[in-house]
Amino acid sequence: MWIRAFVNESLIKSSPHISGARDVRWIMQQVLLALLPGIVAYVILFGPGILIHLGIAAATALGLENLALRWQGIDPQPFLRDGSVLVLACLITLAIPPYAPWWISFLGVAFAVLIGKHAFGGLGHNLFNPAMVGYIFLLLCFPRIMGQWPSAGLDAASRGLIDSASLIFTSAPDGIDGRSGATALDHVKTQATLMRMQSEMHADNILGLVGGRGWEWINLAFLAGGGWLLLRGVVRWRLPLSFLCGLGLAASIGFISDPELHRGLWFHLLTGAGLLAAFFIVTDPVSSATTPKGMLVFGFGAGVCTYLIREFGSYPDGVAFAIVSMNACAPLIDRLTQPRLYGTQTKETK
Amino acid sequence: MNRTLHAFKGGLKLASHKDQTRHIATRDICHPETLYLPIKQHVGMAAVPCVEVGQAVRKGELVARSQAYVSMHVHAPADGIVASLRDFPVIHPSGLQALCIELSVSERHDDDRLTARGANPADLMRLERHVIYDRIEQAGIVGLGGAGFPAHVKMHEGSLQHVDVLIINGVECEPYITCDARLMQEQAQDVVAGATLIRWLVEADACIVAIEEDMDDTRGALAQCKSDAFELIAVPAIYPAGSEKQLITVLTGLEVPSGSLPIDIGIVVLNVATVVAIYRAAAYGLPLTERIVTVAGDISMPGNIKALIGTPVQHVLDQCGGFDSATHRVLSGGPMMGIEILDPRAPITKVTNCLLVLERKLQPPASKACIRCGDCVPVCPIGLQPQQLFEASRSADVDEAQDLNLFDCIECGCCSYVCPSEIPLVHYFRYAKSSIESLDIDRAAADDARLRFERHKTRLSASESSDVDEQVSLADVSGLRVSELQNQVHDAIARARQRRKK
Ligand code: SF4
Ligand code: SF4
Repeated sequence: MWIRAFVNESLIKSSPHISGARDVRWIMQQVLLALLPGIVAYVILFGPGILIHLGIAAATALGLENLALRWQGIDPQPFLRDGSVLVLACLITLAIPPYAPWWISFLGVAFAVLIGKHAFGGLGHNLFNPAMVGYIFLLLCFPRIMGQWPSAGLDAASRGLIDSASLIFTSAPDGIDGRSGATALDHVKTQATLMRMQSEMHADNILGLVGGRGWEWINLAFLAGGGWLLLRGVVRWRLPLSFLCGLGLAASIGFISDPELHRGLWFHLLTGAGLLAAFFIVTDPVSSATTPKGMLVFGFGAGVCTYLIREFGSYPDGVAFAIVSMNACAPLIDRLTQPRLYGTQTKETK
Repeated sequence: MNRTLHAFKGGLKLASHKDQTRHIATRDICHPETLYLPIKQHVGMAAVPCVEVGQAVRKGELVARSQAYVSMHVHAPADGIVASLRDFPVIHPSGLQALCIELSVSERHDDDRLTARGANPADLMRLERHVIYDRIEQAGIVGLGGAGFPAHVKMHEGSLQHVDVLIINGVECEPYITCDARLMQEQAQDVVAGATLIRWLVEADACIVAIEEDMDDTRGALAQCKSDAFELIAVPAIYPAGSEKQLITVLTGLEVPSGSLPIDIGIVVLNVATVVAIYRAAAYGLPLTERIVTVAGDISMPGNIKALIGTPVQHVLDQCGGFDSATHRVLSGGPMMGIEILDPRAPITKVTNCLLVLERKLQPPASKACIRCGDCVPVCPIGLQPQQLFEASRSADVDEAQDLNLFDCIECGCCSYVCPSEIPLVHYFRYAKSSIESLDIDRAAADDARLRFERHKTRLSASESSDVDEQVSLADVSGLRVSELQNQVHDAIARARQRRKK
């Protein structure tokens, strides 16, 4: 006889007894894969510095997640296995200038994991997107370092791995100016992050065909990865598309109203973290809205905010602030966009 | 067949697994030596045993009597001797025991004894309706689809109000289960007779027999009977299309208002097996003592079997070739809403439609934390937000859970099915519901106690004034009550009639 021990509660599964769920681990693996083209584009344009930062970030993320969970008395295995912290580490690294000192990525990830995620109660409870929290922390504390983007394709790209490593691990923060093309620095910083009064810079060869020079390739690589995720059903369409619509619509309106002052649609979509945000950041499930309609509102709002901050705000990156502000609204959006409950329509019954 | 179908929100397209059993004819199994008859196999109050240990009973004899409006009789499925009345393992989500009548089956079988005095629907329809109601009630028929609601209560409510549509539910949306499909195929005549009879009984304007769209054999068998008593409609196989509320929406486009019953919008839904049972009770006086059970999954001889109520699960499985209990587990019901059977001695009851043997998977532990992916929201057929309900249930936030309409959840399992964190959401919801209900019961008990105390006080003061007077007035009052009630019932029926005429 196979009387099941009633004590062994964990063995008793309640209904349903079958599952057709998407595996979180599989999702995260796909996301990491989809980030690859973008990372490759980074390496081609800016040199291998990002790889070193990726290593530091990944090690920090895994280590601190492990510690934080153990400290709360939770078995870290399933959490480490699912790979969501690795995605977080990647996203922060992609927002860090490739030749920033090593402790930048360490600090950014540490802040994201410990404060952004666990201080808010851990996975599923963090109100704000942890990667963006980490990034904003870096931006506020080390604005100078975070603005030091090398110009794409200059000496940065030709740098070897060892050279990059020595730059990342040895130089003091003040020595930074020497590591990127000094003349391009201001322009690059502006175009990569601030995006203000861009028309003056048209003559400089800092801008590419439509976006910031080099960035358009990186963004196209993210688009490729993101499109693939969309096609495979890893990422649902609502958040990315509504974000792009929001950003695109706002940019178009701005451009039509004053083409001299504002950049157009393609520039905004293909510059900075535009497409990275659309497919990899806005889509963070934990901190976005969860109702179908709410997702549309959330994405659209984040897109519009990104544009507004890029064009009118005093902070360089629109995406991070836009997403964090929308995160704060997500619970409200969810509440206001509850699906209609069965049996609550006001239909006459004959 | 030109009714426009409507879509219900949410739901899932599931692998049906029905081919395993749907083409195999229903077979009899040899009867077990002992039957265990739980006195509560239905929604409502438990029945009260009316036999004594050692007493010999005949097949079809009443062994436990219903003592309330929402309750049901239990009959002996075979000749035998009452061996004991005791708590015995039953099919229950947490493996509880319940009072059962243990019946040692004697050899003699006299199966065709009752079938002789059969009657066709036309003859039955010449009788008074209440005679038929009475027969249904006496036969101990409950909803055989899984809910177990006493059939006569449902139909009685139906008789008090105007019924626009009678829906006969042959949609088995759960994977694996085919017992209703086989029944409709093999006993199509009885389904038709039952539909005709019940339509007359509840005075329904229309009657629909709903089946799943990929059940061609079933459709063929029913269509052959060429009855104009009902429309035969095939609905898309989307889980949970066979759930009462969803089926109503698919067929009529109406929604049952939250907190109401289908009858409030003029609809009665009966499971097809219930319909057949009702017909047999009405025509032959046959009490409900056996049913068809689908045995499916990893078992060597799957199929549908006719089992006596009270047959131990183990006996049924042995008759179907047995299975490996080290690596597999057994569910009562389908994989989406079924409950795991924790003790193989537990008996088949009136609501057991399927025994499903599934492999016990040792899965790597999932994080079980909600990542708020929102996957569960669009699949919920009710339009709930399972992720928010989960937070509320887990933190035992009773008010929040009720604000989020916890009690509208039909426990269909769609949300748990898609949850990537494998959170047993339904388990949480069930738990939250039962704890809120027990809170309410406590509160009601407290109110009740207060009320009784107050009544007691008034009675005391009243009796001080005059004992005799009080007795007289009480009798008056209760007399008035009865007639008042009768009037109300008559009024309701009259109203329903009038509406009908309009
Ligand atoms: S499917 Fe699971 S993890 Fe996703 S939102 Fe719903 S409860 Fe949370
Ligand atoms: S079990 Fe309840 S909450 Fe989950 S999908 Fe079904 S009705 Fe919705």
